[in-house]
Amino acid sequence: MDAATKPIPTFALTPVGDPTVGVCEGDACLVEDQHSRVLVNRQIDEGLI
Amino acid sequence: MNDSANPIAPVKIDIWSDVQCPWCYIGKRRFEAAVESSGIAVDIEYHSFELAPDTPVEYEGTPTQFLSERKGLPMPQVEEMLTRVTDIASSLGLDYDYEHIHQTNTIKAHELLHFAKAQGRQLEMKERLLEAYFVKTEHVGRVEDLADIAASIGFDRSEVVRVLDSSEYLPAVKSDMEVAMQYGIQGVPFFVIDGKYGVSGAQESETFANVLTQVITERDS
Repeated sequence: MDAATKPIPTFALTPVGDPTVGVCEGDACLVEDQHSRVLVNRQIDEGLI
Repeated sequence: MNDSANPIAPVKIDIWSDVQCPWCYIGKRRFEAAVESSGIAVDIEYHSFELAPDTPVEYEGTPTQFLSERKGLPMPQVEEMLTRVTDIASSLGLDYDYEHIHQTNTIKAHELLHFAKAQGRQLEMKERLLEAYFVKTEHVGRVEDLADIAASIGFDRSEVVRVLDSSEYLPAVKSDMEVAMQYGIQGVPFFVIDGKYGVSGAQESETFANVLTQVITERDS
């Protein structure tokens, strides 16, 4: 998700937890790693489908 | 369950999630463990989040092939990545079968979840759909397959087909996505706890338990 498509929050939440845990963002899934996050599942660029 | 820790009203938990999200199933198990260990009553509601709405329903191939073909990554690299997440799932008793998973579009699965919610059975359907996709490798994109999945847990198959064919719950799916935008949610699973704490990703159970406890503590103070 690039800056142009990032949602702008209108409901405020207090963030909790480790920001580096496994999460699926946009059309990609990330896995926690000791040093970095890596793509694990799928990341489809628009236009490739 | 520890009665002294129970508030009068359960803690509201809103979870944005996708059926095809490996971390959503892992996060679900970790959150359930936190609820169990904390003894805090919760009221869980799942919300729709489409990770890849442009995925074709009839994609032929495994997620490994999908990623390799679309992104040009070597198969061994993709397999290594999927092995990592599969191992974590396995440690929680979830046997992901990435060799046979059907990559697909999940919009109809989300509609089915909203239909199940209207019947008061959303949590049951959520578990069944995640199991269907990751463990039983059933197809969660086609209406007929989703109807079979729903029927397997006692839903009226013909009614499910009618509801999904009519897209009756499509507005509810879109509404969930709009609220996700308003919360600034970029990835799933995403937990909104008691309407004020935002927890992103498949956190460890201890993290979830700590947030639940904090909410109860704040209510008592």
